[in-house]
Amino acid sequence: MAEFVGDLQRALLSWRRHPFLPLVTAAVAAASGLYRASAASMTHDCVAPATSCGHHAGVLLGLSELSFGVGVFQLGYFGAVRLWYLRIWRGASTGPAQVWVDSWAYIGRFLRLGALALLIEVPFFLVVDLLARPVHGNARLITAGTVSAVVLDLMLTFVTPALAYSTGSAVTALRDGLRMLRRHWPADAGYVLVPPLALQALVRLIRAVRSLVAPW
Amino acid sequence: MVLAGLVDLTAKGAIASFYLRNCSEPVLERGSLSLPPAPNWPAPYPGWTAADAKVGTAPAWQGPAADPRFVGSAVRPARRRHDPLGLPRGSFSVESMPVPASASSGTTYAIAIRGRALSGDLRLGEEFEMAEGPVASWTGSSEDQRSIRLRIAEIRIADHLAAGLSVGELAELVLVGDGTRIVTRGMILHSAHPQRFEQATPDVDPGNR
Repeated sequence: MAEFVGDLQRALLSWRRHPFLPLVTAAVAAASGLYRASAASMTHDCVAPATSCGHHAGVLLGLSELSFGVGVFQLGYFGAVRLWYLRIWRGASTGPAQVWVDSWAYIGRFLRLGALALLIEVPFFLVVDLLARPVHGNARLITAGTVSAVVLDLMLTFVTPALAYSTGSAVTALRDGLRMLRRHWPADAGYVLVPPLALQALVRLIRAVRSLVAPW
Repeated sequence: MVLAGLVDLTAKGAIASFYLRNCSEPVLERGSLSLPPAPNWPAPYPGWTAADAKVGTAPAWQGPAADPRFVGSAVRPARRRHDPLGLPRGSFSVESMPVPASASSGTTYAIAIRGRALSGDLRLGEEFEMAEGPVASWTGSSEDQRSIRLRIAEIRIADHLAAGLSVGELAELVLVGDGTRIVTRGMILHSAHPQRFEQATPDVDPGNR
């Protein structure tokens, strides 16, 4: 665990040396969240008063296109951000312009990994969904979705850095990443378990706070 | 969303740090980008004339078991093909590995990679021949040499991240055979002129062994 904490500190120290790293990441996350929220809000507006929907149609289309663009860019950014870290640690020059170029270059390989992950996740989702039969309604879907997403997250812990640093093949990265996970277990437990669980907890906390604040 | 993004960014950094510290698989292959420098990586040689390699011990050999030996090597990209990140992609070939076995009292074995397998692409898993045998000097005959087959286990590039693969960079080749593991290190030679090749003449100093 001390090793994990040390690496977290190392990552945070990198931010101090390159403040653009958290700034750009925050901007990308904000853009992604903003477009998603706006699109959802517009869709919600359109459901009730059909007459007010007409002038929203163009905006909705624009937002969905932007949303798609941000989503695609984010795929590449997953790789670029890892390369950014490596450049910082090696003292190489880097910056937002470089990350912009890197992100577009990484899209292909992360798109392939996404497709591969989907192939793994869908059957897993169906199995969990089947096991969660006693639970009814949306809760069942949410349970199956959350469990399969967390398990996939655990599995991909070292697959994504392998894809960013070592190979262009999603299949090779999956094999190498899983091998690394297995080889270093349980020393790597912190790296594998903490981030996805912390993120899930954070997302739920944000939702809970939002639902409390929303009525006011 | 922003908070989640920043938490995720911290986790990515920690995981990347762990990965780079521990990755030991053949990490450079077609389409790969980078890997951390090997431990005890030597300082770059000036120019592009020299390379060194540490030869691991091999039970099958007749020589003294834990005797580190040095083999000259030269590595160059076989093709000039870069991936979109401007980083090296493609294969590498070893053109020559002369071995000045200036060993004392014939206890050191010379090792030379030979055969046509050394021209053309160098791929992970590829097999080729190496010859080994007791020689007093590199000028010795090839008598008493035995061939062993080796497989390329890893190809590593030291540090090409910032500027892409370039002349003078060090590359490391890990060869494994029956109980044999050889790590060679060499310079990337100029790839714009594939025919141009300067023989690597490593400075082997028995006193450093």
